Amino acid sequence: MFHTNICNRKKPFFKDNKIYLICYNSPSVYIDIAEKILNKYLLDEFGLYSFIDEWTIEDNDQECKVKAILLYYGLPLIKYKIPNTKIPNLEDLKNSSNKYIYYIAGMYWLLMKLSNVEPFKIKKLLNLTKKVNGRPIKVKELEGQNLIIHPNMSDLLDFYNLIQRARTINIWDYYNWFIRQL
Amino acid sequence: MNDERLLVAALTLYLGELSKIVNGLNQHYSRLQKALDSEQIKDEATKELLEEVMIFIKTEIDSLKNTYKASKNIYKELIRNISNKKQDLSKNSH
Repeated sequence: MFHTNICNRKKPFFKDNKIYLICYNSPSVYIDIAEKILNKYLLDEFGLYSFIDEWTIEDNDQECKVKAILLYYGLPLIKYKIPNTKIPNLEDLKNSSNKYIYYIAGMYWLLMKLSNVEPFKIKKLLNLTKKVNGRPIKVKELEGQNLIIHPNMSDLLDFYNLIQRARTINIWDYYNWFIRQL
Repeated sequence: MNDERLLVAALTLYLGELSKIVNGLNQHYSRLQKALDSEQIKDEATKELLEEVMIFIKTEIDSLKNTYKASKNIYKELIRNISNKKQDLSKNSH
């Protein structure tokens, strides 16, 4: 039924050699070429290339498979659980008894890993939870699941800022600040 | 202002900031602990992910608390030195 990753009617919109980013901010789900949404340095810095998976999408009533990074309200998810790892994945999310808490734990896990990334870049990632442009699609693997949550971004940003400050706080910054005041 | 006094002033701000960060992280930790203790989570994957995050936060908090204690000791020592010097000065002036 599916060709490798090309829609089976009209001119294919999705290209084999492109990596896409799916922003699942249900009820909105949008797709675009990953490097159009975040440049490749950011994708690399956020470790998002390790979340590339094959997803089945429905675009204009046509189904096709694309290589994409799925961001579930900003949280990258791989499709299946990798044994003995805690990498956030759709399988665990679907089976979770509390999807909101799974999401929060996943985002904290991600932000901990990204604690060396500069705050303005993290804001770019968190802003994707509000992304409402790109090409609207449906993701077949997410259909029929009750995955809608209402994340509180200010809590996540607060957590990230605390971790950042914990990592960077330095007595000599305060000392030098006083010297500059003299 | 001499170096010791500058350091005391800097330490005052530094300790205040450390304390704020610890309090903030403690709040996040408590919220996660509450979620873990509640009966809402029945699957292992969510529990394990939560526990991993909580261990990380706890480690950060403990490390900050150690830094706080060590800095507080330095602060007290500096205050003592400054006070001794003041006393010496006033004795000498008499």
